[in-house]
Amino acid sequence: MDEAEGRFRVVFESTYGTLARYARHRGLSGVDADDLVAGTYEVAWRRLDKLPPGDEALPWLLAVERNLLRNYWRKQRRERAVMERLSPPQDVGSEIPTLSWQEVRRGLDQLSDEDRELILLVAWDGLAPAQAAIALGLTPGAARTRLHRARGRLAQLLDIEQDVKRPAASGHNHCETASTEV
Amino acid sequence: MSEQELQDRVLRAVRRARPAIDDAALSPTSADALKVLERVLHSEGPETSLGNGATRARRWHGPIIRHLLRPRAGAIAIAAAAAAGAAVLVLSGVSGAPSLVDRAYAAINAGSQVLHEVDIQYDRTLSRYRERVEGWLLPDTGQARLISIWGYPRSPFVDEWIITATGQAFSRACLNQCHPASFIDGRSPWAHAGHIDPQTDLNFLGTLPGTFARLYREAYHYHAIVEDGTATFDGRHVGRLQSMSPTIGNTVVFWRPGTTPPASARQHLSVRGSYTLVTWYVDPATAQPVGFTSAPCDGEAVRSCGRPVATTRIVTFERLDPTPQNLAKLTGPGAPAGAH
Repeated sequence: MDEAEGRFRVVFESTYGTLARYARHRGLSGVDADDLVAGTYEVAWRRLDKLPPGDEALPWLLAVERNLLRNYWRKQRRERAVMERLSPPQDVGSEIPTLSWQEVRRGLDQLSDEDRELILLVAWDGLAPAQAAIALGLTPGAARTRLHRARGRLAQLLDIEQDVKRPAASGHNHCETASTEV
Repeated sequence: MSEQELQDRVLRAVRRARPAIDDAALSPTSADALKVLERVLHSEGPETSLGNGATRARRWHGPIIRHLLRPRAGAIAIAAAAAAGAAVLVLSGVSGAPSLVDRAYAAINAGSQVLHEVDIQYDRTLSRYRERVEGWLLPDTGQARLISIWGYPRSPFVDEWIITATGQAFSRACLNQCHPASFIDGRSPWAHAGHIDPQTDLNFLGTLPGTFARLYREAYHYHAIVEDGTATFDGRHVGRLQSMSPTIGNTVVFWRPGTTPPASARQHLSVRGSYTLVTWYVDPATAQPVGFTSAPCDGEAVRSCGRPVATTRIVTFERLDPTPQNLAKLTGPGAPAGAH
């Protein structure tokens, strides 16, 4: 094993779970999911010199995976059906008894693609806002602001609370701690 | 309730709507993960050398081979246009006796008959990986239909292409746990894949499956085939012919071994200096195709080429009379409007 392959294997082992989960959380299964993940790593392998070190590797890979996925859906012409194809959650839970998972997904469907992706990267894929920012090509400040607004918008859509305050436009960092706890 | 608490509740609700996933599928040591790793490490390696050059050889392994020899669809029209002239060439060979190169071309130039071919490609580095390509070709018009089933036995991918006499290309694909029979029965939707311009090889149809007939016709068009004695292929005594091509199947360019690649080949190379030696095997008596192989080369010289990685065996090769039934195979059941 040479130096390049050794480095690549370390990255693979630390990120595979997240990339595999991402593919499945975006409506792919089986061979399609594996194909997307493999395609992502093929880009990383080919462009190993561009792959950032340390914690930045994961969002970089997710950005690649997201682009590949968008191309895939564009090709398949069924982007809007993504939410419909997702399997039910393992445990529907009852923390918010008035909300079914179908309602939540319908709410997510009404967000813009960028806002929905940001929320899902944080809530489903476990990324910190700073990592999600890299994956989406945003500055960390812009990602925090957008996340804050998207959560507020989703709260309205889900009717969790009617009097959601408008988020501050300054993009203060008051939601970062909360989001990383998710 | 504070705004932050409210928004945490929102995120928790989203979190709870997360689809169920089998955790075993997420482990980097799962069987699926190891397959992915194998596939990636056997794909085209890093663009810049971080190691000792070992990655150079790896470019040749893995499913990328599937795309290795896929020509641009424009070649069909080009080759069809060349067919009539080439037939004359065969009949009026300069030396009086047509060469094996010309005879092999004549064998696949079925004119108004429908050429039916089934090829199976094996990959030396991936023991269970296969690609089966079935093609119907009407040389007189360039009409073609190709069905490719490729991948591993339990998870094949299927795609189908129709190219009309006017150069319109249609395709459909199944990318997820396909059942080839139901796919071919028409459950997957067709899409218009573009128009083939025979004047340029810069279109996007570089992933069309290649049969011996289609590839050979293309190489023949470029005058890129030379004889190289005889050999044993699949236990048979055969005539051996050779051509050079770029490694990555994004061009239609072939050239004669021992000559300089044309500028268009250099221009389209995905990896500088990365070439393929294509070896064609034909029956020396009938000149009918038997198979072909592709081998990686480190440079333009044939001596720089290694062992073949992909081997394609022809399991069916027949000319069908142009009856309505046989002509219908050029479009198949459920073909889209405009494909006839």
